[in-house]
Amino acid sequence: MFDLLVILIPLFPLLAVLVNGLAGHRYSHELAGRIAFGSVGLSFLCTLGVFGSVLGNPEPREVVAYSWIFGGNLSIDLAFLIDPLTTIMLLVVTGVGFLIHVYSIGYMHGEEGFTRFFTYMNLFMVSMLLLVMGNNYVVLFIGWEGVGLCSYLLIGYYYDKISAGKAATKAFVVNRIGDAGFLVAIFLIFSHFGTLDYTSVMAKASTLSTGMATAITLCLLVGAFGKSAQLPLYTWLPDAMEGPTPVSALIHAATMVTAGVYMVVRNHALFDMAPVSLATVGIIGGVTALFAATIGLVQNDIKRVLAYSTVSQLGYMFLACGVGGYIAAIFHLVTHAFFKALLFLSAGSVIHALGGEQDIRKMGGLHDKIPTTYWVFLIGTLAIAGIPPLAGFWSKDEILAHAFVNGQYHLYLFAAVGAFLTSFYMFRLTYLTFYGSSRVDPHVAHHIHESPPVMTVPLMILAGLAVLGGFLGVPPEHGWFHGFLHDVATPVGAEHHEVSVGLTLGLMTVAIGIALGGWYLAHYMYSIRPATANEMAEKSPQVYTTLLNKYYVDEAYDKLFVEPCKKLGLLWDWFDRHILDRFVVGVGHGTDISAAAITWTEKHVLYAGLNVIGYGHHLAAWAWRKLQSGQVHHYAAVIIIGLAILIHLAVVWYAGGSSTGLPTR
Amino acid sequence: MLTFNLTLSGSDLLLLLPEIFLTLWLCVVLCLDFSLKRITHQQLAYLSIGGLGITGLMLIGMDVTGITGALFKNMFVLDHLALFFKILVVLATALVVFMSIDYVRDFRFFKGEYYCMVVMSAIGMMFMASSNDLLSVFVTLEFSTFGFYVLVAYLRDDIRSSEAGLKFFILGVFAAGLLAYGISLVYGETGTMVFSEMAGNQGSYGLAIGFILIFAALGFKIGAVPFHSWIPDTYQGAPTPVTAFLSIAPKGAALAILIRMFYVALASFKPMWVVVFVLASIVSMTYGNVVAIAQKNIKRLLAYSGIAQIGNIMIGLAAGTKQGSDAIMFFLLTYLFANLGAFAVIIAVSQVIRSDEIEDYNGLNRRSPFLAAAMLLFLLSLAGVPPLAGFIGKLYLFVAAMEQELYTLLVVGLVNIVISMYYYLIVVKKMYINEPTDPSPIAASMPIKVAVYVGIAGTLVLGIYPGPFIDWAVDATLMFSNIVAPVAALSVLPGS
Repeated sequence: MFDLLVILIPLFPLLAVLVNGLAGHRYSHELAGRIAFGSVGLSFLCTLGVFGSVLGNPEPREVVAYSWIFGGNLSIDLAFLIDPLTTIMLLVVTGVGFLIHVYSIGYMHGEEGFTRFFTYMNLFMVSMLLLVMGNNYVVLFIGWEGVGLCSYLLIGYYYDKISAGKAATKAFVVNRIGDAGFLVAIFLIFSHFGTLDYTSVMAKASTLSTGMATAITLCLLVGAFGKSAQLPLYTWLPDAMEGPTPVSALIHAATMVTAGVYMVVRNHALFDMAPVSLATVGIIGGVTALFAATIGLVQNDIKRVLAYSTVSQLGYMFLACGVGGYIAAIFHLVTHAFFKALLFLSAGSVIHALGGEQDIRKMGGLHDKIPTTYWVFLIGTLAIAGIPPLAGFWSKDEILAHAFVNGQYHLYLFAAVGAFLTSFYMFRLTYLTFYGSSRVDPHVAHHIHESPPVMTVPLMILAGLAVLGGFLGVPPEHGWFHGFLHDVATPVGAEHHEVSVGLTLGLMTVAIGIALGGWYLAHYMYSIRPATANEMAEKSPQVYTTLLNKYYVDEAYDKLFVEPCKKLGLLWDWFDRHILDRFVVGVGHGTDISAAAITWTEKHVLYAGLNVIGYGHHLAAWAWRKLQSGQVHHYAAVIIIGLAILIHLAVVWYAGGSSTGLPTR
Repeated sequence: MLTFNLTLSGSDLLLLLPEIFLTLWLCVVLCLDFSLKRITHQQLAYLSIGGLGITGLMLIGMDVTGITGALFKNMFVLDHLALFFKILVVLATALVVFMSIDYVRDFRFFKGEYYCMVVMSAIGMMFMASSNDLLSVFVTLEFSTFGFYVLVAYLRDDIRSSEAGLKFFILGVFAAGLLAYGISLVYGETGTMVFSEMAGNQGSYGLAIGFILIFAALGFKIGAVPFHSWIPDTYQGAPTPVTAFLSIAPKGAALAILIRMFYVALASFKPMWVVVFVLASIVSMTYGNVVAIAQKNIKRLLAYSGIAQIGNIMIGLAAGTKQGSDAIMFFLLTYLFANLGAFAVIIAVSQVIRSDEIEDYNGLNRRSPFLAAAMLLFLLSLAGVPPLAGFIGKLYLFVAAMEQELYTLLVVGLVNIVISMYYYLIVVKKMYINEPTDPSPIAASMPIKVAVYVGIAGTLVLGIYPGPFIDWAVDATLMFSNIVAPVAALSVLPGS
């Protein structure tokens, strides 16, 4: 029963992909949509069943769906590992995924490629489920590539838009760089452990040398940084906002981009053997958290602000991993999935209301026109800014506390400044969108309308989760969440810091202060004295333009990598056309000539020789006369020659047999 | 001295039930053909398929219930190995009959007899799978080949068909002569005909030469270099369904004998025959693949590709372990679906365009997306591209060779996969990229579609869900788990 439930989880969306993909054009959009979100809903129900079972028995269990290849000592199974970590990921993926699917029904209503959209979305669900459920690196990799492919397809969903096509290509290429590192890691793991099963690898992890562990984990990190948009491979994620907003919510906020974090936590036994890698994770995470937050300060596209915020929040999760706070990382992953999905979807609702407008300079004063969207967006903002008692406060505070208690004060500083900036830019976004005077295009203004219930109900549910989700991890370090994940995500061999209540409360107070400080600054600059922002921008134009242009990283990458690659491509093209092609043609001619030569030799030398010997002359004469082409005797001669060689071999083998100790006569 | 005293009981006859049933069914079909004036050849074809289907069910039933035994002083043995190959032969035959229906419509004479010849050959091959001594090898081999002699030359008005038939006949008789000579040598040296009684015999020149002669005759059947020379001409000249039939069923049946003979009778000779198979495998793969590149006719292309695939199969024989035979049997299954599927597409296309030239496959995708996609799938499976069946088949063969540390063979095999990819993809390129000279659509008839769909299903299922089929092959050769101990192989090359 348990096994069946587990197998059904990815099977439902897969069936939906097949049905909608193969026959979707034959029935209405409504039916296609129902099949799509129904399948995810069923997966969610199965996940609840699995969750109930895991609550009763948290021991890791393996479920083999089927053995694909086995033979010798090679075996590749499509098998699932169900433990608390997987269960949490499953709940997030299917739960949030289900809500986003429902929302999409409303958001994508009337789109021409409605069925195509849902086919891709369901395919994404299948891949993501394989990614988090697999019990070996092969299944993980299949899921990993699958989500990358779906991300590509969905970013480029509006394929008639050139920018969408470019963004999709960029996402794909940057992810490939990460995947290359990930593949190398898989090869290293296989060559070192001789197996790709998590359970066996983790059991033998302590036998690794530090150097090997560092090599493997650094390669894994390249993959994780690509998928989770960390420095220096983050540039694709802001561009990925070209896709439809539910895609941004599902793939580029709640699930796929967190795959890197999941992978690090899943392999924490390897990371614990490699202090260098852990330090790298922490520093990259911390720097990314701060770096992306600074860019988020000045962006004017509502989805781009959220995208940089996602990059920054993912940085927090990696930072948590780097200081050994794996549970804190997963906790933040879960709460982030709630409030970031909420923010993206409500941003989608705003865009929907304004008929596609994404520039916050053309919004403002929307709070009474679309009240539901306003309230849920505000809840999301409060949650991400870290205002207690909303979800983001608990999880972010735990990461900050972890960094502080572990004595990583520099990381704490990064995180704290990042938190201040987060609070600031999120409230800036809220003020510019919902308060102040309306800057909406008058043509658009009288069309403004609240979204239909199919969109607002998922928003309200997500808002509820963003408010309450944090209580899973209360009290800090000892909440239900920590108990549930304790066995699968506790660092190996790390001493436990017992934190005094006073320190905990002190750190919390500081965190609250930071959040409120950011809020107040935003309130001052965008509500009390709205001119302040422009004055500051004019006062230090270099800083402003640098931030607005995202530190010119994209331009630098273009100059450093893309342009040289293009030139290399042109060079290679030239080489291909002028040298390689000629070479290939030459080889082709060579083959032709040698084939002709062999045929000629066969015909004129070999067979002529045989004719001279005179074997089967009468046969030849008869066959020639009858058929004009009888070379049967030649064929027979080939057989005789081959036979003679084989017999000769056997005889030689016997003659030499005595020296090899084999039986002779 | 050979003395026979036959005692047959009812339960013994049960072991022969599928063969007896199919023979009777064949007679009924034949009688219906000449006694009912109104009966069409399609009806006869479906009758034959029905008989084959019932036979297949019987065989599967026997395999599942585990009915085994030996008859006629071990001349005829029914075990899981035999049942595996019998099911393979029956399946191939049924598919070939499906493919033939369209083709036979154009015959002017003897439409009904065609199906009888096909089924008769199938009965011969079913006996081949069970033959356990040299005499029954000779008799059953000739029995099955007899049908093919007729079938290959079935197009009486087509000079190339007659030529192919004649060549096949002459060389076949020649191979039979070699076989008889080999049998006489072996019998002279050992005093027995039965494989299991030869096991453990000390070697001698006469015995070695005898076995090599027998191998030559069987190598002729499976088309291994250097006994391959009849294949291209015969494949090209024969009616295409017969070519399809030739390309899989006799190879399977002959491999049953090869496995039985080398694993049972010749187990103590293993170091010697490993060398023979390594050489034959390397030469077959390389020759088949290289010459296939130059082919202009799709049937000839598949003929040479078949020679190369036999080279692949002999990798398993060269490994000489149970793992090797398992791999061979699984590979044969994958080969059956991909190869018969490809021939079905060829028949469907040639029924419309009346040509087998590869040039005429230009732009097939525009003319029939279904046939082009199916052909693509079959060619990719033949080339061994994951996740299709052929990939898993080749993987197992290579794993078996790797376990025996046959690295030279492995490297040659891998290089050959790359070469084969080239000519398979040339066909793909012509189908998908080149412009058709004549854009009129090509429609396939229902029976051909059945064969193509079965091929597609088999190719996909064996690739994605090979587990049960591998288990089937593994269980079929359980008797070898004790017989062939893994022996380091190449260390006993001559003179080393």
